Amino acid sequence: MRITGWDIKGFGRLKQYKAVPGPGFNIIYAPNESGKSTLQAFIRAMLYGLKGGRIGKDGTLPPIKRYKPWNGENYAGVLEYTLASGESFRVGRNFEKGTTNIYDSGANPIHQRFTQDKSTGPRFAEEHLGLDEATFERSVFLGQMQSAVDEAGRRALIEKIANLNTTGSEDQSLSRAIGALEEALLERVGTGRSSTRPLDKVNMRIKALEEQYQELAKISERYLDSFRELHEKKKLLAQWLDEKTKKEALASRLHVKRLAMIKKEMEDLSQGLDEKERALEAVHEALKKAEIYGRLTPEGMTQAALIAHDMNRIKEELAQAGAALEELTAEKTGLEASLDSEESFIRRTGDIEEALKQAASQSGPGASGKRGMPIPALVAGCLTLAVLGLWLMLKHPLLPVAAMLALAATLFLWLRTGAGKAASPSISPQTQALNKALSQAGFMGLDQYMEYKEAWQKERVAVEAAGKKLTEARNRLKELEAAKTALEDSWRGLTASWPHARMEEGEAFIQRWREGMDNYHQLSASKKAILDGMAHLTDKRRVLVREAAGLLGKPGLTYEECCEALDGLDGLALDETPWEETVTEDELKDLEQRINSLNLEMAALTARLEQAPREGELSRILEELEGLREKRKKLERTGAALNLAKEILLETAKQVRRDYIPALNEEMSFFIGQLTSGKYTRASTNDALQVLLSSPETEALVPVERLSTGTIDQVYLAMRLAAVRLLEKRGEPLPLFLDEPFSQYDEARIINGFKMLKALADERQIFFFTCRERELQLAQKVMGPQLVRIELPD
Amino acid sequence: MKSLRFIHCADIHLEAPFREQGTGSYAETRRMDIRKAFLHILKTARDQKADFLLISGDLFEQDLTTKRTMEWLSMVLSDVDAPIFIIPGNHDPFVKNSWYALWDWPPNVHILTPQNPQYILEEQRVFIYGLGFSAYKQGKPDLSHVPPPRKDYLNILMVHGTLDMDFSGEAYQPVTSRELAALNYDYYALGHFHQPRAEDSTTSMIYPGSPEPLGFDESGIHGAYGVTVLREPSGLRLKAERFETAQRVYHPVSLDVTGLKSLEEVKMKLLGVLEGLNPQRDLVQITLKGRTAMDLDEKLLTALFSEDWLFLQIRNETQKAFDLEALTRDPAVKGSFVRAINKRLEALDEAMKMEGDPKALAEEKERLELALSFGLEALCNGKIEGWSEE
Repeated sequence: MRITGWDIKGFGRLKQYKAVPGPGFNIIYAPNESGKSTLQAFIRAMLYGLKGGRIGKDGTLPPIKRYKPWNGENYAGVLEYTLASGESFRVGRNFEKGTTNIYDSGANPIHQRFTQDKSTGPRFAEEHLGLDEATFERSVFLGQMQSAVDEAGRRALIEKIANLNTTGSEDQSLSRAIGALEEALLERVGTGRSSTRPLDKVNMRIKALEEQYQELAKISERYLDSFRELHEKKKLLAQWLDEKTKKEALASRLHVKRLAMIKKEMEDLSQGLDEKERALEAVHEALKKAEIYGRLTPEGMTQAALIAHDMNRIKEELAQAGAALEELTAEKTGLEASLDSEESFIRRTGDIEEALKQAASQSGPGASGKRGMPIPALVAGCLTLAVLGLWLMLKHPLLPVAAMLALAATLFLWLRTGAGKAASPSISPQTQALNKALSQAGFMGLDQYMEYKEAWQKERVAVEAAGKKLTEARNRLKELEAAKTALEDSWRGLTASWPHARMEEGEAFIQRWREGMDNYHQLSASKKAILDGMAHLTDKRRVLVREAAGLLGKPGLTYEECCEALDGLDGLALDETPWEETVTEDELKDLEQRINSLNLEMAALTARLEQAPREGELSRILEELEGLREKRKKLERTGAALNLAKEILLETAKQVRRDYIPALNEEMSFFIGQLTSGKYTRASTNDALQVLLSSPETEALVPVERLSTGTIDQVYLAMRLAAVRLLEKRGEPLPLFLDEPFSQYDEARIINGFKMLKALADERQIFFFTCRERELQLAQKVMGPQLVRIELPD
Repeated sequence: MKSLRFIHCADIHLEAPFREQGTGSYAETRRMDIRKAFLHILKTARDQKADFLLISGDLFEQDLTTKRTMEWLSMVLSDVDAPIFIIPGNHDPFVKNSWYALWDWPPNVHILTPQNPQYILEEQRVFIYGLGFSAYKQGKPDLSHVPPPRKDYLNILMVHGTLDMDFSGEAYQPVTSRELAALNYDYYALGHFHQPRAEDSTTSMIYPGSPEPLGFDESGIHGAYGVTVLREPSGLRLKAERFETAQRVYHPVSLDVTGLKSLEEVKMKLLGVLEGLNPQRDLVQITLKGRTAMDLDEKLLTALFSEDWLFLQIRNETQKAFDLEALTRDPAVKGSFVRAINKRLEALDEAMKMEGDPKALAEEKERLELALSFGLEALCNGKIEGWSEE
């Protein structure tokens, strides 16, 4: 693009000012405050329009107001330019009215062809130049370098170089941008490692609230647990109360039934008692009658029975003994009657015996000698003695009989063995004597004599025995009589108080009295039984009364009172229907206890439930939490966006460096060589993004920071020019507006600069603004006829 | 069976917390609004002599409901002469300490739990089966346990859950309309979604929505449904009509301030948004969007406008104004940065056209746009200013 002319109607201090610049190097030499900057602003304004807006915080006017003509002149202008394609355009703007007209070379209005900006009108410059205003401004307008003024200026310049190098724009500092993002992330969001940044504060508050919420939720849950427990206990209580009601009703029915039963039982008992009372009376009567028998004792009866028995026996024995005595007497008498008397015997046998003796003394001791007691007889005799001894000791009535039998056996055995052992005699004088004696005695022979003798002896023995027996029998009778007397005495003694005690009645009496005594005792036993029975019935009745009194709730009732009370109850009919259910007092008590315990537990729970969690507190915490979470989300989103911006920025910066810096360095190298007359030939950038210049002299790479101020200026200029070249690669060659670019240069540098600009002017239009006459002179010297001088109005 | 009328509502959310940060007792006022909306439903049931009332879940917030709330609820439910059927939702599930289990509900209230899922109204010949929640999250229900519909009865299935949504990871008893239709019930009383859903007034699968809206994502008019059941020769005919119950209406508004040159212009725009709205009824949240060079203080703006409003909030989500079109042509890093972001934005737009997660993609887009603003501001100004979350 080349500007071919302008007509400023009114713009800032410039009014009614026309000019036609040259296609190459144009120099505007004018003192300060003469409108150089205003002209630059006009060109910008014509291309990109002027923005409105409010007065800035530092008091600066918005552009539309800043350049309003002071004297109320038309606030308008015209600019003409030609593009590299040869197309020409004429732009007319009225800044006051806000109108813009564009005409092509055929004077056709074409402003409608372009996209319209509300405030600045058609955006034809973006289209024709391929740059927005900001890019245009920062690219084609080179202001004064400040490096020589102070250290701050030098640093600013180095920064601009660095910016250009890293971002392609001197005003865009990557490090500052990254720093801004990081600072915003730290200050406005937080990094999670601090406690005072917004996100960290929010997170801490969220954490605290969440803990508080959890705590309250636990309390609430415990409250609900207690509530549930109370609810369950209420259900259980209702169940138990229902059970209690049913049991009490059942108990009541059972009470009624029981009372009826008690009443019936008591009636039965009373009836029983009455019956027993009557029985007792009868027994009493009978006892009275049989009282006499009461004096008897079983021992007495036994003794009496024994006495009576003994008496009977003794009587029997007496009778027997009497009979035996008579027999014996008769027997003895009989025997005595049949027995020769001893005198007769002796008379009859004396001689015989004498004869026998005579005979015997001659035969010597022999077979007819002595005859000892045979042993069986001896034994029997001993036995007899033993029995007699026993009888004497024991007085048993049978013992005498046994003695007699033993005696008889003794005698029998003795006689038997003794009689069989008689010796055989020979005839001798003695024998003759004997025979004589025998015959005189009337015996035919000795045998007969012996027989007679034996017989007589036997008889005599028998008589003796009989006599003995008789004696014994008499003795026995005496004994019996004595025993009888003793018994009678005993009887009398025993039955002294027994009237009608007749021993002679004997067993019958005993029997009668025994029966009477038994009867008496039976009556006594009956009486006792009756009394016991009555006592038992009375006890039972007492128990029933107590039970009834308990059931009626009136303890301590007497029987009569109880009967009265039972009679007073309605519906007390005996129900014989069997009950399947029962309930005991213990069951009711247990249930009551359980109900009471449950009520206490429920009261405790209810009291605990009074401490209900404060209403609405959870909601408030949740609401605050929601708000904080929303805030956190926003902060996190912001943080994420800041991080993303940083990430993309670094990526693009890398890309820019990769794509842009080599090209920039290449372009820069050209300009550096020109500006420094070959002192520095190459510009490069290391990984640390340092700009380095190579010096052919030293073959060293020198960082820009180590260069002199003037050289830094040159580097900056070279970089700016290189940047413009790179910008143009996209489209239209751009004019350059250089405002005092060599203000810090020495003359040699100025000349080099102009030489470089002269070469540059071949490819683009250059507007060089200066207030130094020396520069004008040098420019004229270097440029020669190529130079076009543009005057500013006074 | 004579004609019947019943009321169907759901998602009342008694004692719900309110996310929007209102001032003073705003949240309490809103909770009272919920109660009023619910009372409106009960009054409608009484006035229309409804045969019964269905509440398809989320009647209250289990964790936030107190004994006092239950006392109030008991009192108002017992005033309704008709039977009331409730299924537990994911906010009031039938868990260990559920108020459904702990409370002595009035005799006309029937809670359909997993243990007792059904009820029969013999006189009206109505069979109701409920599929509620017994945990805060619950997977797909086993529909094979749902008994077949009874002949000559009005068969109603109450379900709290999501309908026709992607099942992967879905934790709120997901079902499909197809599955429900296969059960051949006459009416499906649904609950869970807060926005009402019914294809038309004759559809048998209805989400009545929350009777009182609960957030700015629940704009529009809210209410419940009254359903009339007519017996016709061809069968049962159901007609469902929605009635309003909401005390408030949420108005989320997005206002693009791009191009506005002054605060006054912004205020005028705000006034325009508010025109026609009722400060006592309408809850307004205006989000300023777009790009502007103005420093808009949302707190200041909110304070300026919210004086008579129960809730009015102005949020500033504007971004700095940049001539992005021109910047894309900048050869320097600024231009590269803008181009890089644009490239990513274009990729996102493409992804949005494909089957991506729209929410995640929208968030990523927002993040990129914000990154763009921050990056440009950092590059241009060397600092980020003009916003603060505090």
